[in-house]
Amino acid sequence: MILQHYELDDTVMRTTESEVLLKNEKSLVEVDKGTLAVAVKSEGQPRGFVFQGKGKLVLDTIVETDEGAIGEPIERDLDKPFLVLGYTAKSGGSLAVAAKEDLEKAGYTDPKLFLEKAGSVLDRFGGRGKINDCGCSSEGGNLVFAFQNEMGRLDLLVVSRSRLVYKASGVVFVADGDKTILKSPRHIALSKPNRHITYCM
Amino acid sequence: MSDELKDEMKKLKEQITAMKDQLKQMVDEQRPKGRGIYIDIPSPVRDYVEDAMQGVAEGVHGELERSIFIGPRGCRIMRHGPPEMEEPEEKVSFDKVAAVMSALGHEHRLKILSELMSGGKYVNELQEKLSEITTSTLSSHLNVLEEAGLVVQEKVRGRYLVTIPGRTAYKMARRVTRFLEMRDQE
Repeated sequence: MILQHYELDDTVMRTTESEVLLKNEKSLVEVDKGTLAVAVKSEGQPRGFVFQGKGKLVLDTIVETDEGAIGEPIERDLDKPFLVLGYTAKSGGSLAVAAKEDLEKAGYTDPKLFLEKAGSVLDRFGGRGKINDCGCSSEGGNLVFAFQNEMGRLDLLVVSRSRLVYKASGVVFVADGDKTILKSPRHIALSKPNRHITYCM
Repeated sequence: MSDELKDEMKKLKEQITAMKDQLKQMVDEQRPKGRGIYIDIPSPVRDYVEDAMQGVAEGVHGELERSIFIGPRGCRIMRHGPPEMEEPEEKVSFDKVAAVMSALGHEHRLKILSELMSGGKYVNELQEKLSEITTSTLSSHLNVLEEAGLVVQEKVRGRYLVTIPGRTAYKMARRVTRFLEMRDQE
């Protein structure tokens, strides 16, 4: 196990245009222009960001079987601070230093208040300096998202090329190419080409 | 022990051995040829088994009479599942039943379901297959099917997929129609 010392940068930034952080066949994460951002660093290198602003998460937690489709898509507004590791400005992000007005739009009178909130997300994810190295880098194509849910817990989305794992309250969804697994409060479904198992509760 | 008593015991042993051999021979004569264990079932048990077997045979005969439907296009075997418990009336939400039936109750929507039975499709693919339906009408029909829970749309790619209830409802509608057609042809 390699523990990385993750820390937040001191500068609050903002997106200068809408950014697609993740897009593949089953998931989409994007943030609007003007979203606040602070870099997450390790050994002086940018490793990710904590964003806050207007954004959305779309996830097709649907399993296709010969009997029909099971599950339904998830569509969520991202208005609370969330963490993404593996996405850096080098990946194509357009960022500028946030002005006072940008912070005020997000409800902050002081940049320190935003940094405190962003720090609490990072701490809850694993604690600054205690996070296991997830192999996330802009070159590796691995992304880890941590979204705050209504119950104050973190929903996790891990993406590694064609593989995707989503773990939220009551829902686990795993996709690897055409193999999918869904566990929701109503269903358990496993599917791969020509084979599937479904269980409705 | 006296010699007389010893002789007496020897004779008795010989008699027992002879009786054993005789009994074995009798059993061997009655045993059917071939391998296996032979059990002599008493006649009351045999009668009971025969009666039971006759009951089973009559049951199978009756079931076959109910299951085989001979129509103008030949013989059709209809499978009967286990007897279903009748659902209590109060548990049936007729509003929901009516909504599903209403969603099914349009030729275009049935055609859409039929197309989706072979796999998920984008709107333009459906449009291509169902050229007699205009784009706006197709979109409206898809909304009706989605609201009834018969189809689901992927939000990222946008494909439409038929759900398990959708597939079941479509098959049920077809089965009922086929049954009525066969009855009319009688």
